[in-house]
Formats: sequence, structure tokens, C-alpha cells
Amino acid sequence: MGAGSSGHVTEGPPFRCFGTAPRPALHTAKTNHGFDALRRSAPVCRLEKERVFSDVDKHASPRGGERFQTPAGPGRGRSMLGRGVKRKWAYLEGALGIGGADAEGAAGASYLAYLQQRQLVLSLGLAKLQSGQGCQIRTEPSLRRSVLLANTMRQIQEEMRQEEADLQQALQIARVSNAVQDPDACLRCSQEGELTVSLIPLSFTLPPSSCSSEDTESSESDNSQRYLSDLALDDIFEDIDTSMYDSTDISSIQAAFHSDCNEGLKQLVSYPPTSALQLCSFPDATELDNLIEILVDS
Amino acid sequence: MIMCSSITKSFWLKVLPVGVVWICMCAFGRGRLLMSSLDTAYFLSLSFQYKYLTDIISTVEFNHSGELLATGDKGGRVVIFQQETENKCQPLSRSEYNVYSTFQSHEPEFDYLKSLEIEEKINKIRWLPQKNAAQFLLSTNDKTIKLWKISERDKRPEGYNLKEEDGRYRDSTTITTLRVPVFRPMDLMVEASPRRIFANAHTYHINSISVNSDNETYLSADDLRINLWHLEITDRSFNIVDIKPANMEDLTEVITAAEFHPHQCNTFVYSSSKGTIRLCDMRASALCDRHSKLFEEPEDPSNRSFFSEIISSISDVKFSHSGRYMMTRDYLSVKIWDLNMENRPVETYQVHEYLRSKLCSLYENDCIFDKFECCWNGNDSVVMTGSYNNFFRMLDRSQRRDVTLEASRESSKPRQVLKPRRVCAGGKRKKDEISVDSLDFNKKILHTAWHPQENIIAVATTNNLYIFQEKVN
Repeated sequence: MGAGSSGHVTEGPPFRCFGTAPRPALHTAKTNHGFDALRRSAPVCRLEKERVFSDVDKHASPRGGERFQTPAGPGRGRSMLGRGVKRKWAYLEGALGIGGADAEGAAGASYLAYLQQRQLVLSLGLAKLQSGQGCQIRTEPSLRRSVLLANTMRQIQEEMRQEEADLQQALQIARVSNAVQDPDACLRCSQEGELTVSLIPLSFTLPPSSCSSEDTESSESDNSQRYLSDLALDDIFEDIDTSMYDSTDISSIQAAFHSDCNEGLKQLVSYPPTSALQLCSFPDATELDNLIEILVDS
Repeated sequence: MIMCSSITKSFWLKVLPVGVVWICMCAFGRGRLLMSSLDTAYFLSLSFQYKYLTDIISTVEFNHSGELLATGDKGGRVVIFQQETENKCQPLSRSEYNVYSTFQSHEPEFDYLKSLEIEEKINKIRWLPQKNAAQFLLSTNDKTIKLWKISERDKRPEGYNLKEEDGRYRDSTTITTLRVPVFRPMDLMVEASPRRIFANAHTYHINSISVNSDNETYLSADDLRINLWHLEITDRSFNIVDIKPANMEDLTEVITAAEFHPHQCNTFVYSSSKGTIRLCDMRASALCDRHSKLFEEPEDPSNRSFFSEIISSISDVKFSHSGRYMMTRDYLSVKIWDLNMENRPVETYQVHEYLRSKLCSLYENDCIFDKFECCWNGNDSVVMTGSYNNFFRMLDRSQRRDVTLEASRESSKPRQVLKPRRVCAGGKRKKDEISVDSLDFNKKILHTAWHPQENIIAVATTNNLYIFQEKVN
């Protein structure tokens, strides 16, 4: 569409290859925390990064089989979600010591890559939606672009929510099996509470033209504030207040356009962790150690 | 002398068409594009013209006879080119397109309620079928549609009694006789005047306009609504499609394009950002919210990714001239649908499948949101669409062949066959292939048009309009 795409085209130096030219600036310095860390941990170019992942994959699973990066060819693109699910289960099995040693390494590495990719898409999408209402905006941002971004964010959010549920279920199983072997461990687990996954706050927005006249401004501020206060609490084991996620996206996040919430949201955007580890907070120290070991493949 | 006030601002470069080698298998027929089968590469030899416009071209459209070619740009200007044929009697003789008229169609506006600018960029131009000496076209920006009359004037009255020829009033003492003014020939002047302004009917950005086959009505579509207008009436329009949800939080789909059926004045289609096309019959009800047909292809699960929805968004929909088929363009492919079959397209063509593995980068630099258009040739046997790196693709339906060509001054040299391009997706790059990583994603061809009767195409890069014509020796 007009304003959005042409604006990005003319910004910055013309680029020919994603790998060699400076990336167009999409984010302000404040919101760039995640990206900087992401970039430090990986080569500069995204394309390079993808190749690194596939190399990691090769090392991890010399037999071949399923890889994160499928070879380019007609009709065979990279399958994010489908493969991610399988990888996730293999990873869980590895975490719980059910699968073989190979499965753990391969699953861990590719799952990490998958999570990083997903994190990237999420953060970029948030930034794009935010920048659509940035200080430089003169014309109305494209509704089509905003809706497509919002749908993608929602899809990722749904997947993360599903993962949380699956993870809880899996650990429940583990707890039960542990309880049989070690009653003390079971007690420890139950005391620490349920496993939670702190979901990335999805503050995506639609342009103000789509705001209905009945703007629920105050409730959106409340939601943001409530989430921030949740973070402040040490109580990461309690169920997260999901009201922000239940009310589908747009209205609850229209507050993003209002300047008084921008600061809070910038913090939220920068909150997205740089590694998969921070995506999950584990109640049990020993389990945490196990999983860290698996993920860093040590 | 053609009076175009802004012509001095833009310069145009005319490269004389020269003879190029034409490789063909059989006799040429009007409207058919013949491709060689001698090699795997398909040579399409075209002579070409190249026009430079000062602003980014945002739409290209031939009129119904193909004699006129209109372009709209980001600055709200419309430039019309006229075909001049070397030898009118001889079919397929060399044609040139020269500037016929230039006018400022839309001006930037300011929406005080939302404190936002309304861009003057011309989103679409549609010609009306010619009824008299004058030509009419509809041009639209995000909010307002205008009907323009383009007329020629080649005579002017001379011999006024009270005025001199330059307009000064004559001294009354010098008037001694009375004379009748007469029309005398003058240099051709092309005038464009706005005849109707259709405003204040769209809350969201207009993406399409389409003139009905009844020549009295037309539709305009924005992101959430489609309105039906009568060409004579500007102060009201009928809303025929409204997909705005009661609660904007529930919005997940927008309208991306709409078009009337070329022959059935009651039928139109509109496409959505979710990859669906809905065909509606206006006889069914006043508000066509319930479609008569829903065209949707089930998603291929092996291609699922984070970007599946974004790339499935349809950017253009065009009926074939016959009215039997319609073509849709999504980010990576072109699909031909038979109007009688809703569950899948009859043909699918990959435009640039090598981009599938680069979707994340394209998402990052926003290229994934580019809206490519597509067009049919005169007899519906070939379709054409644009790509990146100033490449455009021609897909021959009848022979199941395709070719990638480049619109650039460097690649099109006189006395040389227009060379097909190849993009290397991965692995070893062959000679003359271009690797995906060296494609220039700033150079995109979003707008293309095909002459309704001849094999003349107009391809718009960012600032440049290329007019290609196939040449027969």
C-alpha cells in the first residue's frame, strides 16, 4: 500500500542484498535491546543466521532426518509451525529424559532456532505496528498491513499459549512419575506452584481510523499497568492475568497509540527476552538446571 | 503543439524502436504471443520505448482501444500517452507512444478531524468506453474519485469585435465595422477538465474502482466497504458490501481489490487479505454481504510458516476479457480461477518461488506487503505480472510456458533479442543467472498493462515507464 511501503523503500540507503547492506532502521534505540542481543549472538545478516542454524542442525543430527531448514525447492518452504510442534515435543521428551540423547541435542538446537525466529517475527511485528503510529506519521497507515501484522502476532500468541498449556501438561506428567519415585520432589514441586510461561506482551495496534468512537482508553491503560505490576511482582509462579490476551488484540492495545502509554509499551517491547531460556520460568531449580543444560547443549 | 504545463518538468527519452530478431514458430496472429520452442529459453523480441516520469508511477492503464495509455503518479498527476503508428494501414507496424496530455488530478488534502494528510497519489485509473469525441477516465486517490473529460481542440474563434486576438480589449474608437467571428484551425490542444467529483463516501483507503459494463455505474472499494455510484450523481452512492465488524477488535480481514464482470452488469468480485475471493450478484439483495460464490484454495500444510497469511493476501483480481475466468495475484503466485469452480484454481503459476525462503527478510524490510498487479493479454492466452529487480513475468497459459524479462535501459539494447532472465535460488549459480541475494528489492514492478488488441505492453518501474512492442520483420 501507499504510505507504508513506499516510505520504507525510500528510507536509508538503497540495498541490494540483505546480507551486505545496513538494515533499514525500523526501531528506535530504546526498543532495540532484543535485536542487539540477538544480533550479537548471531551473525550480522539474517540470511547468514539461517545458514548458521542449518549448520547447527547438521552437527546436531548427523543422521539427517528432520531439519529446521528445509532445502529450497518447489513447494517445500520452511515449515515453521508444523515442524516447531514436532521439535517441541522432542525437546520435551529430551528434557524429561524420555527420548534418546541425540534427540535431545537436535531438538534443543532447532527448537531454539525456531523460538528465535518466532521471537524475531513477533518483535518486528510489534515494532512495525508501533512505528505505524510514530511521531513521523503524516498519513494514515495502511489498514491492510496492520491487520495482517495483527493476525500474525495473534497466531504466534496462540501458539505460545498452546505451548504453555502443553508444557504444563508435560510437567504434570513428569511430576506424577517423579512422585512415584521421589515423594519429596513431588512435594517440592507442588509447593512451588504451577509452571508458567511468561508470554510476550502483545501490544499490537490498529491505526486510529479503525478506533471506534467508543474508545476504551482507560481500560487499555489499566491493562498495561496491570501487566507492568505483574512483572514487578516476584510472583512469577502465579497465573498470569490473561485478561489482556483474552480480549482479542485490537481494542485492548489501542492504547499503544496514546502517548502516555508509549513509554510503558516501549519497555514491554524491549522486554522480549533474547534467548529461549527466558521464555519459560521454571518452578523447580533442578528442572531448570536440566533444561538449561539441554538447551546450551553442554 | 501540445499544451501540457508540466511537461517541462519531466523529460522523456525516446529510444527509437529498432529491428530485433524475432523468433517464431508459426504465423503471427493478432493478440497472440508466440514463443520459440527452439531452446528452453523463450525469446520475446520487443522493441521498446522508455519514458521517465518525475514521480513514482502508481498506476498504468490502457483505454479500450489501446490508443491511449494513462499513468498516475504519487504526485497526483495523470500523464496520458497516445499511440502513433507508422503505417496505420499495415497491421503490426511500429507504434510509438507520445505524451498527449498531462494534468494534475488530485491535490494533497488534510483531514482535520484525524490530523492526517490525505495523499494525492493516484491509486487507480479506469477509462470509460468512448461514446463521442471526448475521452473520459476515472481517477482516484485514497478518498476521492474524479471523472475527467479529455477533449481535443483544434479550432478557435477568431475575429472578435471587441477584443484583439491576444485578449486585450480594443479601443472603442478604432471599431468601425462589425464582423462575425469564425473558427479557424489551430494547433492541437488537449484539455482535461474535471466533470464529476465523487467525494466523502469512503472512510478507509480506496484500493479499486471498476466501471460497470452498463456504462452508467461504477464501484469503488476501500478496505472495508464497496460503494456503487452512478456516473452522473455525485452526492450519493449505494453501499453494496460492508465487512466492517461491529467491534473493530474483531477485524481480521480487509478488502484488497474489486472488479465488475466484463459482461454481466450485476456481477462483481472482491478479494480479501485472507486469500479469498467472493463473487456477488447485485440482484440477490441490496447489500451483497452474502456472497454467491466463495473462491478459496485450501492451504498447503507443508508450506505453512509465520508468513503464510501475509503472503496469501490477494493484491489484485482481474477478470479475463471473456468473462469466464479471473486471475488473482498473491505475493508469490498467480492463480487462474474458473468462475464455475470455487474450491481451487484451474491454474497456478509461481512468480518468484525463490523468495519463499527469504520471507523473513522480506517481512523485515516490508517488501512482503508489496501489492503486485497482474493483467491479461487481449485474447486471454498470456498473463503478465511484475516482480523485483525490475523483472516482470509473462506466463503463457496456452503453451504452459513462462519467461522472465527485465525492464531496464542497460538490459535492453537495440538490435538485440530481449534476453530472458533466470534467478538462481541456491546452490551453484550458472552463467547468466542472478542469485537471489543480489536482487534489488527496491526495484519493483508493481504495475503492468497490456494493450487490449495488440502485443504492446506497458511496464512501470519506480519512475520509468517502459513500452514494449513485439516486432515482426
